[in-house]
Amino acid sequence: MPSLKSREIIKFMAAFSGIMVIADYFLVLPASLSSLAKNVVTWGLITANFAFVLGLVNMARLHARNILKRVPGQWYFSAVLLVALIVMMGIGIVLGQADPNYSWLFQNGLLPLEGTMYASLGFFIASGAFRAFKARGVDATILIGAAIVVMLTNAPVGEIIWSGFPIIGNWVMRVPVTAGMRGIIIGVAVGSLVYALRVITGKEARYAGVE
Amino acid sequence: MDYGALLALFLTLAIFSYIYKETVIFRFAEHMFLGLATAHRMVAAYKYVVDNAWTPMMRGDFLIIGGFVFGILILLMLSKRTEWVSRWPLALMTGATVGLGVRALISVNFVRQISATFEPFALRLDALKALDVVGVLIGTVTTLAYFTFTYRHQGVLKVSSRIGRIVLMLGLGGYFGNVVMSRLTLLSGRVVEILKTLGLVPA
Amino acid sequence: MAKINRLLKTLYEDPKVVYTLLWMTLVIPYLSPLGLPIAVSPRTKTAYDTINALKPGDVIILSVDINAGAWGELGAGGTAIMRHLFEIPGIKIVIVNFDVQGHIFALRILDFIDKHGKEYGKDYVLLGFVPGGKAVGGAALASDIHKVFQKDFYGTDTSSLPMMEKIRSYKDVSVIVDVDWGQGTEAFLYQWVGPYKSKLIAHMTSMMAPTFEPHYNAGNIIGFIVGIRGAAEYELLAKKPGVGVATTDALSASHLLVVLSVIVGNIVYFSMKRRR
Repeated sequence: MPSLKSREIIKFMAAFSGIMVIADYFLVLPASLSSLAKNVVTWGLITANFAFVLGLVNMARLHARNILKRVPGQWYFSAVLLVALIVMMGIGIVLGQADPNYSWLFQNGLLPLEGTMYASLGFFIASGAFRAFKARGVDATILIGAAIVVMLTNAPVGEIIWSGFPIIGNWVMRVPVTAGMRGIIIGVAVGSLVYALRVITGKEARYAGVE
Repeated sequence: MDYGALLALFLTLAIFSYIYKETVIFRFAEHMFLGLATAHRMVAAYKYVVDNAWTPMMRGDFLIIGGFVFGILILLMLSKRTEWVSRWPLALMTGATVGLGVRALISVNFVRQISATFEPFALRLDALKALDVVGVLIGTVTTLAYFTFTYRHQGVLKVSSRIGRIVLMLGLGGYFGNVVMSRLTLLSGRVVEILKTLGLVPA
Repeated sequence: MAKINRLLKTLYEDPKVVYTLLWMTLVIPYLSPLGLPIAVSPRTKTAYDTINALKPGDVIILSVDINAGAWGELGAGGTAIMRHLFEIPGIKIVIVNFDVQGHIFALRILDFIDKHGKEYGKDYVLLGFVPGGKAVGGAALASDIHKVFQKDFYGTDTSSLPMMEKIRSYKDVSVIVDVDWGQGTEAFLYQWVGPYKSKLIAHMTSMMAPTFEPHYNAGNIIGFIVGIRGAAEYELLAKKPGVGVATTDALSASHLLVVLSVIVGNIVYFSMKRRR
């Protein structure tokens, strides 16, 4: 009988859940087994939500320590973080996400912050295009050429500069982008299938920190 | 006076200040973002567990207890002594995810992609569309040749992987063009919000 | 010539000049619109025509997977699509989201558009967030919507909502319309289209579009609205120009700046290299 800590139990659990889910799709299982397979999926959903608590606890620990130790140059920022976390979580859990206060915090706090974080990348793309996008060889020149054509296809001004840009740009999206991405998708699919087989046959258990 | 819009304007400009220099205002906004984003994620997780696990369990669906058990087990990762127990729910989740992935991968990413590459050859197409179809076939095969590392790239494989590399460069160039549009659109979205708050464009 | 070289070298070494120019290309077109023409692409037209052809009784899963980072790009298109869906009489709309923030943006759009008399619970429902992501959540939703959503977003029992009586799984859904930055589209592709051949229309960010281009060409995605350009095209087709159309001028100016930056950057680089 393997001990509770053994790798065999972990590998067996991964194999069992994987095989149940695959079998439920490809075979006609008895009702009890099919129900078990669907419950395995549901347990996965519930477990995923519990896993977020891990991130919350780690974050809270780190920033609470900063405040208690009065880490110079950091503790007041940690205080801001924890206050924002507690206030929004408190309102969301107690009053619900449909509450106007929660909605206000989201629309006027989280939305502008997150939107601007992503939007800032536009500036770095513009300066990167100027400083880093160099036609150092044939391959780089092809890449830059394709990028310029697609950019001028996406922007309505491209058609005004030259009517050929949308034709070439759409061809780039239809043929090389499709072909390249298709090759990558098929390659990734083969790799993922191999990984799935390794997990199900127990050859791979590093997802659980086990060799 | 719309205090919400003013707060949004302040936070937007605080984040944008990073472009010029990392400032105290930026760090304040950054930490506030982390706190709010984490809170929002936790509220969503709480709501799901209450609505779709706790409530059905109270109504008699006792098999759902399995989910709670595994959920609590994964929390044991927080202590080094009990960390080993959290591997079980990880194994369950990985197995289920891998199983669900296999169902989809085979049909959508493998069979459908390969059949879509060859299906158009059975159709009557005009010359330009036919060239496109041949181009996609050659591009796909040569891209796969480029990523084949089992054999040394020599002879036919060397030529096809070189063509595949060119196809990939064109494809990545197209991808970059789309990334630029995506980022600039997001940026213009924030600019519009700033202009609306300042009253320079209609709301 | 020396002055031009010094200017170009300054541009090269100090990115703040490029940042300032970018601000100008984004702000000025909003204050003084250029009104450049926009051609409609076949992929957007197919999406519009598919939605336009919906009949009373058809059930639509509308997945609003917009987050704060993607609102700028998907908000206009999401609004145009939802507005169009609510104009079509007799269809039933089930709104879900695979992104934790999606329902908030769904509510934001619902508050903004004219619902044309559609009633909550009878003609449309907001079920909320499907956790577990693309694999687990998507598969669970396809097989039993009621099992995933025992309650709707407002806490009402799903089984008590009149329209949900007959809507239980993928079999009851006519079309999926996915407004997404990428998360939900994979869920629908792999867990709905793959196993059950469901029909999928996707409106996604231009950054994610190349990844799904092969799926569109393979027929897995039947209508494809890409980025703010696609949103502008959809607004024109629906004859209700909005934020999408207004943004394309700023898009044109800023894209021109990036293209010129690449060209000028290369000129500066090669002239500096030659001098060395």
